[in-house]
Amino acid sequence: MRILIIEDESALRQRLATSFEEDGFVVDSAPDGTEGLYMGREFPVDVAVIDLGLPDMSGMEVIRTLRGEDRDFPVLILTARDRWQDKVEGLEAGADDYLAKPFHIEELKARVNALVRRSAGWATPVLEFGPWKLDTRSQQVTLDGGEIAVTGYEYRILEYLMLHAGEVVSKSELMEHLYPDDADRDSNVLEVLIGRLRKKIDPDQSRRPLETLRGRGYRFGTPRDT
Amino acid sequence: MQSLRGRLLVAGSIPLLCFFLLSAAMLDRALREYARVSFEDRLRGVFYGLLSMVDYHPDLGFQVTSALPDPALRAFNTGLYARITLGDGHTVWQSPTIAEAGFDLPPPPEVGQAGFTFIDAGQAHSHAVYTFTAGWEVGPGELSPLNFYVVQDASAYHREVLRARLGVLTGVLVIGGLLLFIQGLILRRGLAPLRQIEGDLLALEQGQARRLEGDYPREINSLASALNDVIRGQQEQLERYRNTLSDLAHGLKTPLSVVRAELSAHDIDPALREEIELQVARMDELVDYHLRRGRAAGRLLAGETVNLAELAGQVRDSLYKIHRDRNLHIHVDISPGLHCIGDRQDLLEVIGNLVENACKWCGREVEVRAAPEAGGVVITVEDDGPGISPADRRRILGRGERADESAPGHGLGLAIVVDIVELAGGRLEITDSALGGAAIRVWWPGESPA
Repeated sequence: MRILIIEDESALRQRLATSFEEDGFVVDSAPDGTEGLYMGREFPVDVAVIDLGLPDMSGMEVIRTLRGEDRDFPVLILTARDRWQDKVEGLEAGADDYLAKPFHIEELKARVNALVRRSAGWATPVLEFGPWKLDTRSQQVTLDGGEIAVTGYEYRILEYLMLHAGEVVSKSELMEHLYPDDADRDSNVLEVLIGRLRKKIDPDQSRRPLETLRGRGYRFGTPRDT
Repeated sequence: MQSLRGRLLVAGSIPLLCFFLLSAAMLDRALREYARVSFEDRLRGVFYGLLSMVDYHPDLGFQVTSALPDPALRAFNTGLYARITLGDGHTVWQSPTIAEAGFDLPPPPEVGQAGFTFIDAGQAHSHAVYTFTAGWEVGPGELSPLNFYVVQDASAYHREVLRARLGVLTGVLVIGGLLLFIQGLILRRGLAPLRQIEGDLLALEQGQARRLEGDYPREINSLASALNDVIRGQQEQLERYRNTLSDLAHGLKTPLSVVRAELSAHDIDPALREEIELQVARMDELVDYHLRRGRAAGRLLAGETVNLAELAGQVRDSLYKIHRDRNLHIHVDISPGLHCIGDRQDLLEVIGNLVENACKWCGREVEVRAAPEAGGVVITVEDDGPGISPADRRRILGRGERADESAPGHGLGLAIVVDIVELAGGRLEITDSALGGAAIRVWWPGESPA
C-alpha cells in the first residue's frame, strides 16, 4: 500500500511516516500542499492523509484539485480545528473521512486501513476467501481459523492482492505500491517474497490460491464471490 | 411606549383644538349678539313709526292719527304686532290680531327707557318684544306715560341664528379637520425616515440584511452609521476571534499530536505513558472545550438567514460518507422553506454535533426534524440507541463541571451544543424518543419569514 502524507509539522510527519512504514506501507510524505499535490499526481497512491492547515495551499484545495483530475484514492483529512464547517467542506471537496488532532496513531491507522478496504469495495473489515481470512483491523491472516504468522511486507502483499482479488496485478504495480521509489527494485526480491507467502498461506501446496501468470503478474483467487 | 408620531400628533393637536374651540365660542357669541342687536334695531324702527303716528288732543286724549307705517301691523299672520297703552293700562291702540295671540307682555320700563326681551323663550313660538315708555307732555309740566310694545315672532330669527351657528361650527370643524389632516401628513412625511429605519432594523433582525443601507437624513444618519459600525465590528471581531482561535487550535493541537505519536513510538515506562496520555487527553479536552465555546457567535445584531434543510442535508451527507459501513438511516424531515436567523457556523455546529452524536449511539435510525415554534425554530434530533440516563442528562445540562470530567460519549459534543444554544439565547431539552433512544430538542430563537 502506498500512502501519501501531507503534514507541515515535521516531527509529526516523520513519526507518521515511520509508523506507517513499520506497517509495511510505502510512504510518500510532503511538508506542504504544492509538493503533496505533485506526489498525489505522479505516484500510484492508494490512500492519502492530508492536514487541512498547510502553509501554502490549503489541504482542501489539494483535495479539490486531485479530485478534479480524477485521482480517486481515498483521503483522510486531519484537522486541528474540528469544526463542522471544515468537516462538511472537506468531505464535500472529496475527502472520505476526517480525524481531529490530537489523534492516536492507532486510530489513524485503523481509519486508513478501513478506507483502503472500502475503496476496494469491501464493506466489512474482514476479507474472506474460502478458508482464508484477512482481518484488516488486527492485520491477522488465518487459514481455517488458525493464525498464519506473516511479516509486514507479506501482509501488505497479501492484502493488496486480496483487495484486487481476481485481477491480474503486475509485478511493477505491486512494486510501486509496496516499495518506495528510491528502494532497490529487484524483482527477484518480490519473487522470493511471493514464494515465501505462498508457502505460508498454502502449506501443503494443495489449493494454490496465488497464481503466477508468466510475464503478466500475479492473481489471488477467482473473482470474489461476495 | 407610544409611537413618536402618535405623541407628536396628540401634543400638536391639543393647542390646535383649544384654539378652534375658543374661536368657535367667540364667533358664536359675536354672531348672536349681532343678530340680537339687528333684530332690536328693526323693532325700534317699527316703534319710531308708531311714535310718529300718535298724537295728543286735550279733549280726545291720545289718538293714532295717520295711516300705519307698516301695513304688517294690521294684517293677519304676519307675526308683527304692536300695542300702545296708557300708564294705567288702558289701550290706546293695538294690532287687531294681538288679542288672539294672547301674550303676557312684560311690565313697561321706566319713562324714557327702552326694553328688549324674549317671551316664551326657548319654545316653538318665541316672540321678541321691544318696549318703550314715552313721557308725553299733556299739559304744561304734566307728563303722561305712554307704553309702546312692538312684538315680533322670533322663530325665524331663532332659525337663522341656529343656521348661522351651524355654519360657523361646520366651518370650524372643516378647517380644524383639514388642519389636523395636514398636521398628520407633515408628521408622516417628517417621520418617514424613522419608519424607514424601523423597517430596516426589522429586516436586519430577521436576517434579510446585514447592514442599514437606507439614505437617512442627517439627524439619524450618524445613528445608522454608528449602528453599522457596531454590526461590522461585531462581525469582524467574530471573524478575527475565530481566526485567532483557529490558529491557537492548530498551534496547540499539532504539538499534542506529536506528543501522542512519539509516545506510541517509544518504549517507556507504562505508568509514565499512562500519565502522559492522561495529561494530553485533559489538555486536549480543555482546549477543545474552550475553543469551541469561544468560537460560538452568541447573539448577533445582524444574523444571517440559514436554510436548515440544506444544513441538515450537508450534515447527513457527511455522516453517511464517514459511516459508510454502518448502513445508517438518517431521516431529515425539514421543510425546504424553513429558515433560521443566526450564525451559520453555530447552527452547523449544533446540528452537526447533535446528529453525529445520535449516529454514534443509534442502532440504525436517526431522525432530524425542525419546525417553527414561538418565534423561533425547534430542531429535534432522535435516535434508536440506548438513550441518555437522568444522571447523564443532569451532567450534560449542568454548567462548569464538564470540561474536566467529560467522558467519551455523550459528553463534549452535547456540552458544546448546550453552550452554543444558550449563548444564542435558545434552550436545549433532553427527552426520550419514540424511536427508543434519546431525543434532543433545541429551541433556537429567530425564525426567518424568508
